[in-house]
Amino acid sequence: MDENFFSLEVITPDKTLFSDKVTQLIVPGQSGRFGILKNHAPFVSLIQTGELLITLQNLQQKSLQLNGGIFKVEHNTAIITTE
Amino acid sequence: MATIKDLNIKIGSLKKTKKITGAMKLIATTRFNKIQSLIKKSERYRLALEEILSTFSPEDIRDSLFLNVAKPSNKALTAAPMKKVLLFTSNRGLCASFNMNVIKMLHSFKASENSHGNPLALVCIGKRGFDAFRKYKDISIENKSEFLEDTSFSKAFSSFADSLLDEYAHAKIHSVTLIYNHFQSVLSQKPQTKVILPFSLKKEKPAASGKVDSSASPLENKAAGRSVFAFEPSPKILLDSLIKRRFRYTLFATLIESLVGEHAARMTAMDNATRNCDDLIDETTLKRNRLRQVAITTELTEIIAGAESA
Repeated sequence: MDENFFSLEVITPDKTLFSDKVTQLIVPGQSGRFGILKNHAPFVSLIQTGELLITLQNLQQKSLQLNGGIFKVEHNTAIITTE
Repeated sequence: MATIKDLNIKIGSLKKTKKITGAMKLIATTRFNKIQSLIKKSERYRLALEEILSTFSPEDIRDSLFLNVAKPSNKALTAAPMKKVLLFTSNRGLCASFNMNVIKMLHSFKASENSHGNPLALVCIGKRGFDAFRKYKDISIENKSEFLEDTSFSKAFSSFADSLLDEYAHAKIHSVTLIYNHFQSVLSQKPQTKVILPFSLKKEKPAASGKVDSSASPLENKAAGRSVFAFEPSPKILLDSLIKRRFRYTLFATLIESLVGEHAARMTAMDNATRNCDDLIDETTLKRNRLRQVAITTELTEIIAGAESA
């Protein structure tokens, strides 16, 4: 099995909501939802209020409600800061 | 002259006081630990914001800080130079000089601003500060003590931060200054003033571009250059949002720093009080025992004298 996961952290000012390896993300971007897979080019985007869909390493789905924020991915590390 | 009974009553009440201060110390310790772990978690958020900020070019950051937000302030200088001051105190007492230190600092700040003729608008985060300044008629005062009761990053708090930015952008206020206790260690909290608006070149630049430089140079050494980021919607809109978030975070960080200092101060104060109780109990017990011994000796002498004469 080839490794097709990358790391994701979802951080708020008072706690870390999520921190794990994931295979796929669907992010509610300001100008539309976008998907992120491994080896994505460096990218920063504004996030709208909406649902963040995470596919975990074991292919399970997980969703998080986000109240706006900023998304960044670089070198297979994704960070979401939200409030 | 106290009788043995008086001293016994005194010892009893001292023991009760000791129990109370001991319990308060325990409560303060628990709260202190809780907030300290919160600070650690919030530090992660700060680093994440810095990391995202470091993807922008320093020029963009500077333009954003000074053009989008600071431009209206030039107009404000001629219009109404209202200075907003946020005073962080505690809601409850029994924490030694914690509140007095910042209140004193605000007094001297107020005196110097009054001599410059700048009207102050005071926002008190903490009932103690509000009580200390409510009687002054020359400053407008707002009570926002409820923020201390809820240590999560609440909607109310972020909208309060946004309203400050908004007032600033619309030139209603000319600066925002924080007066709070800087947490140095459990034993010492230093009162401090910090101007958070307008964003100062001195403070913001090393924090912002220092990060950029340090992250850029190792990459450049590898001859790879900085990663070229795609921004969506546009760097400018992103930066605006980022700076807003950073501002909210700064306020929140100050709030929890002041809170952790409050609990530390109370911990120390209650520890001292408990130890002082111990000393007093020892002293009073010694006094009582001496008095009792005197009584016994007197009684014995009387009995012996009586027996001898018989």
